[in-house]
Amino acid sequence: MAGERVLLVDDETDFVEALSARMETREVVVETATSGQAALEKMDAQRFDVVVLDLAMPGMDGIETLSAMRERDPDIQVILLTGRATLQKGVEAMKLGAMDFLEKPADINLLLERIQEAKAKSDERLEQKTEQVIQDILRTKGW
Amino acid sequence: MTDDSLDLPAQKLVFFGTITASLSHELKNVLATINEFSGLLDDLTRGAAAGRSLSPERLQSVCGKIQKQIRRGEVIIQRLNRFSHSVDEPGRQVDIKVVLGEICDLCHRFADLKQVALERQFPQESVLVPLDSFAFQYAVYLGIDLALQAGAEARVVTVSFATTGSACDVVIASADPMDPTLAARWSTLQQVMQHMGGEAGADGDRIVLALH
Repeated sequence: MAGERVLLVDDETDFVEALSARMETREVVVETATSGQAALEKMDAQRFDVVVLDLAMPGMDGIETLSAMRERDPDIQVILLTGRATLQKGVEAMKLGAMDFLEKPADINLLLERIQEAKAKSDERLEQKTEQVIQDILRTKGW
Repeated sequence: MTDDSLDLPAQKLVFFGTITASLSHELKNVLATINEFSGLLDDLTRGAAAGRSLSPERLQSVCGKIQKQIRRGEVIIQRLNRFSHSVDEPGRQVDIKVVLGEICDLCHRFADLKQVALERQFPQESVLVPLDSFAFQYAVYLGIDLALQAGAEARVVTVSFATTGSACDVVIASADPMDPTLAARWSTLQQVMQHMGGEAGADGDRIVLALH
């Protein structure tokens, strides 16, 4: 792992503590939030490469949080991690732009693989946007 | 949802599925947390084998967290077991306080997801009555569900009961059972109570389930 910045969102505080500790031993930079609202506030304050998001949470659930996150940043890569994977929720999440949908308990190596894939996608999008900005500047200057 | 011919056996099955699904989801969260902490123990011991320092206090803390989740899992399984056995011997003598307490425990997760506090106000003494526990729990679940769906401002739902002779009234507050968007749920509850020989009524912001 190469210092991926991950936002881990789950209302189960012990689960968040354990998973974030495991990710940090693998050199992932982890911020945590125990609600959808808290996650959005963290997103407003800093940029993340990937969000790992629980589905069933009090208040804003995972789907509502995913939708709000994509509104703030259409390029944000979100992996849903849930204890109750149903086809319906999976389809709903993918339609809203989730990158992947994993069922708990998820193998840490599989999760980290997905995080790396998500970061690669995020970097690619950032590169494309930067390239576009440069092209626009050059165009306005007639170059 | 309901219609004039309530398919009660099918509705009860849906209720059974709703509760067992909720409990299995909670158990899955317990197992997922144990999985992560045991994985963390593995990570820490591998790190120690590679020369990184490892404090006994850290190990004890992680082991304590695993034990806490195991105790949590035991409570959930006990609830599942009691709920499963509530279909045994309908009509046997049961303690209303215990049965109400059990359905409140089972509905806690639904209340938590709505960020509503589900509180109980029960008298000290036990009250034994012949009752179909499962049907009774279904009716109370419907009442609590109504209360959770109603009243966006309500952050507390209170369940209480009072007995007069052989009659018992279960009161679920606060709710607005007259909310027109909840008419179908209300109708289902009324029909379920009628099947039990009782009735469901509204008294201001309270749902009253009267058992005769």
